[in-house]
Amino acid sequence: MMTWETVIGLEVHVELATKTKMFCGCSAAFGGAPNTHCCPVCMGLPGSLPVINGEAVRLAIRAALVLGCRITENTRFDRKNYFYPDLPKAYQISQLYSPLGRDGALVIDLGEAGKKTVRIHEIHMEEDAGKLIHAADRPETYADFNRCGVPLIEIVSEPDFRTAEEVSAYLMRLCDMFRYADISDCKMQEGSLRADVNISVRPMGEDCLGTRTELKNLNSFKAIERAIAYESARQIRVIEQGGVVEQETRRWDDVAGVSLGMRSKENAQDYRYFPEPDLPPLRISAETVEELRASLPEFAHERVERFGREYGISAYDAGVLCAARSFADLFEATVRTGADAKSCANWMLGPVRKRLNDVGASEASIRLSPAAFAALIERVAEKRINRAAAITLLEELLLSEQGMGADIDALIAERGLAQISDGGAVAQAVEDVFARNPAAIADYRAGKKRAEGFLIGQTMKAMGGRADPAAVKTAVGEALRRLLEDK
Amino acid sequence: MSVKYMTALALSRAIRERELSVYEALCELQRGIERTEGKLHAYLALDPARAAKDAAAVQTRMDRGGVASPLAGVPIAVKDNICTDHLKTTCASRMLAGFLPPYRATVIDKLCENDLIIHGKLNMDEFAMGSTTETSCFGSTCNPWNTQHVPGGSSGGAAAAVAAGSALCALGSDTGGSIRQPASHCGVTGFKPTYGTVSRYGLVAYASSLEQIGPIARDVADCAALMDAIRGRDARDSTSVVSENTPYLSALGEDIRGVRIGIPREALAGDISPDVSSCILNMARELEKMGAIVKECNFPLMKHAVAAYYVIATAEAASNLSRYDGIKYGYRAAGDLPLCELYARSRSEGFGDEVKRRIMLGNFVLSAGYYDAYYRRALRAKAEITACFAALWGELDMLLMPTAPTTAPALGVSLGDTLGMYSSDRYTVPANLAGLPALTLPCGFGSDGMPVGAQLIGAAHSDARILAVGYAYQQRTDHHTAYPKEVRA
Amino acid sequence: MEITKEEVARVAQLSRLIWSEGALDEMRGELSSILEYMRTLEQLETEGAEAPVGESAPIHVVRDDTVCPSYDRGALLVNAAVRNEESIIVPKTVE
Repeated sequence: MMTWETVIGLEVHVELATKTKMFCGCSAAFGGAPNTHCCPVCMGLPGSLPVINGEAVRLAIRAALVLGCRITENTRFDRKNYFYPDLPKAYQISQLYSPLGRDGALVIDLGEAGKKTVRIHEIHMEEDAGKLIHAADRPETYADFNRCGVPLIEIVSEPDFRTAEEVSAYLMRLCDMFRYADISDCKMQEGSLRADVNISVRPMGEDCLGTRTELKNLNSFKAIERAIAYESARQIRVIEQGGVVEQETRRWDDVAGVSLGMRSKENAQDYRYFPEPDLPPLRISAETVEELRASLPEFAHERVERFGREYGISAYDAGVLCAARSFADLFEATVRTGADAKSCANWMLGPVRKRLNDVGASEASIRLSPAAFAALIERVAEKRINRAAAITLLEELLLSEQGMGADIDALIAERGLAQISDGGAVAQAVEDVFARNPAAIADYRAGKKRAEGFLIGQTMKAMGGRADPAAVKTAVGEALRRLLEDK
Repeated sequence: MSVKYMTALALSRAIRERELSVYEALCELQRGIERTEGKLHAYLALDPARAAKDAAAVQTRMDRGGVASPLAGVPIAVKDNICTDHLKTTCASRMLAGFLPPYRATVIDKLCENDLIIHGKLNMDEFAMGSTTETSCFGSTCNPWNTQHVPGGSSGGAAAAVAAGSALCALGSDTGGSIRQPASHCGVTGFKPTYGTVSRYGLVAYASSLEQIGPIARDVADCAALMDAIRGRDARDSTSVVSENTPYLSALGEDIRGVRIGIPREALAGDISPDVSSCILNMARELEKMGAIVKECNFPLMKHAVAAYYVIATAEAASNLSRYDGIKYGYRAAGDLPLCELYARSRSEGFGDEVKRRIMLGNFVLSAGYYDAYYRRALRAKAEITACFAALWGELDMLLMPTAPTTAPALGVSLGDTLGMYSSDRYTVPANLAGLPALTLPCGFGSDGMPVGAQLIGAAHSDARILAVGYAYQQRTDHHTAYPKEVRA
Repeated sequence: MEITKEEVARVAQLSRLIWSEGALDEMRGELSSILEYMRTLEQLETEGAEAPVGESAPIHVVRDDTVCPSYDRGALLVNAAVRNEESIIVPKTVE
């Protein structure tokens, strides 16, 4: 019984988060009424010429750096020539001969299976094509050029993947990092992330690669996993039945769960690449590269590890903190102001998280300043304000402009939130409460322990919620014991 | 003095001095067009109503004062591959026969800023591919010096109209000689600037790395003034460059004594009409009398220029013309056709033979298996030719050579000999390959009474210098002042 | 340089151009002689890297990421032979 190995390479297209298109000033925003984000350049009118979007180049360089690539000093665009109605110039401005980045690598996390390094062959810039919408009821197709010219980067990996899980881990890591670094919003459902899979099979232990097929039309992570499973099984079946796998492009049909060969004409394309004469080469200096490298954020997974090392936070907790960059930023800034790391983490994962969820706000809406947050946490630790009162204050300040420069001590004084720890006041309140609640005392004497909790609650209430709960608990408990001893 | 025999600068001066109005000048020009068009067929589109409106607007601005351009009030016509939004832009092709662009070329904006009036579009070889204007789908233009002869191409309409006086001045485009060669055949002055000097935004592309828009006019001064109006870095054209601030017009009077001019041996050898060689040598002698130093030099790579040019130009053309599929604009084949057939029919019916031939050539030299042998080799040749020129500028300031090996051929003769036609571009294509400025000047007449042109080619960005030498030559000679007897406005 | 019938048919397909059989053969002959002429380039023994197409030195020519107003849709579509108010209409393409 032969053991087979599946070998997979990925070609991922990512839309860059620019405001305008790659070669003209039209809006690159998703959607819009058909053909309302267009101009002579992206429509390929006679006499139009491309002009490179500097921000797209910067984002592309950052993406290449994120993927550990060497940046090509003189990078150049080439024309890829083919006819299709979504391509107005009948050529796509892309890169073949000197792509922007080469020879990179991405380390992916496979959980228990450990880590794996996936090698990146190259990353290059190109422009997107338009959209074709097929009429349901007649033999017509409608061409919408809004998307035509949107800046893309294509990331070509080496055939280093062996399982669908590895592919998913790669794509997720890529998306996380690109979103974190504001390179792309990586939304597969909006088409800002697209993946084509190149897949072949070979007997385990064999060095030579088998014939590969290319799978297109993979529109979700699940579809990618299903397609990989199907296609490797299909190729194995073909070979085991004595056939030969044809090198071709196949279309994945996620509904039927099968891959279908496309017309063979597609596979015989001669793109006649040649250097784009309308665009001079782009010189990218070492200074520019270093400047862009420095602008990259520390990525979520790197930060999680560092939080564990520096602050002793559990991996799980660090993971939640680092899910949004601004959330992790607030944590670190608060700790740097002087708050205790573990307390701060608890506050953020507890009351802050709860407040955000309750009102449906995102981490980006937090206005509370790190200094105010740290002060709040410290006052609770110092028992100058009790936790309930602090939470109330937190909920008020978290998302409001007042939270930005809040003076916690002033607020505590102003609202009389200072915790009452004075033993005399507590004892007095306990006495008053006991006097007013003979039934509860009777219940307690009768052995109903719940009455103690009721009396604690009543005492807290009588003290306007400002008492130190621990002190109240002790006082009530002691008073009750004395009662029992007395009688 | 009659408008039709004025230069553009002289007309503008006359208007400013109130000898006549902008509108009067325009009307007289239009009468000249009416008299000549029947025979000449230089124009593809005219819009007298709009031109009159523009003339009135310019007149108002000039009356108010503060209009600075030395060409204000001058009517100008442009080759029909330059996008205008008030006149159709057809490139003399069935493919774009009804095309009205929704935008204007940068040079059109600049002409308007300089208060010229764009009154018409001029005939050309289809998509600028040709040397005779005979491939125009709307019929050829004839040479006003002899209507049985071609005006040259591809800017044949422009050169013929300026020669006959049915245009005061014009803009053409030059990819492999398309300004210079027709100017030479029609006895007028034409200039191809250093690559990148004039924006190509709005010029319907044929060969992007080789072409430039440039002036065709009665003399060098007019060409210099037009260059000042149209040149400059354009943010919409990534290949356009900053050019120097000093107006070319003001540099024209510069002293040319001591200018070192080389005549490549290869240029006067081989298959060249003796009439042409003798006109060139006469010009050389005239330049020497003016104080220039004229000597022979070598340009051995000249023989590879045509091959390199046609490989690169057809490759770029094949790609640039792929967009014409009848779907977004242009000619669309009739009938309910599936996509692949729609493309093939629209293109086969919309394009003429020469265009189709060059598209085939271009796709061949770019195709898998031939790219290295043809296209990459041609790019290397281009680099070598550029280096060859550069090496000459140590000892020389510019080259003098013929613009064309013969005077204008007869109509109907060239299209049957494709290779012969291509080979006749050997004097003009080198300047396109190297991106250098090149001026053609009328320098005499052949024994057939047809004009002969001479070319001055200089180092990149030495445009002002070339124009200055040409200007000095025209101060001492009068070939450029002649008008044809056969067809004149 | 003699091109074969198959090669010229392949290039015609790449060019999306059609000819009758006779005309295609004529084209084959013409292309062959022109390509033969272009072989003079072989005499150039050039080893060096090719010059960049266009300017001889690389230039950093980029634009700002500022949105410009889009063109009026009607103006952009008006020259299309078959269209509706919103889009250009093409024969149905098969994926």
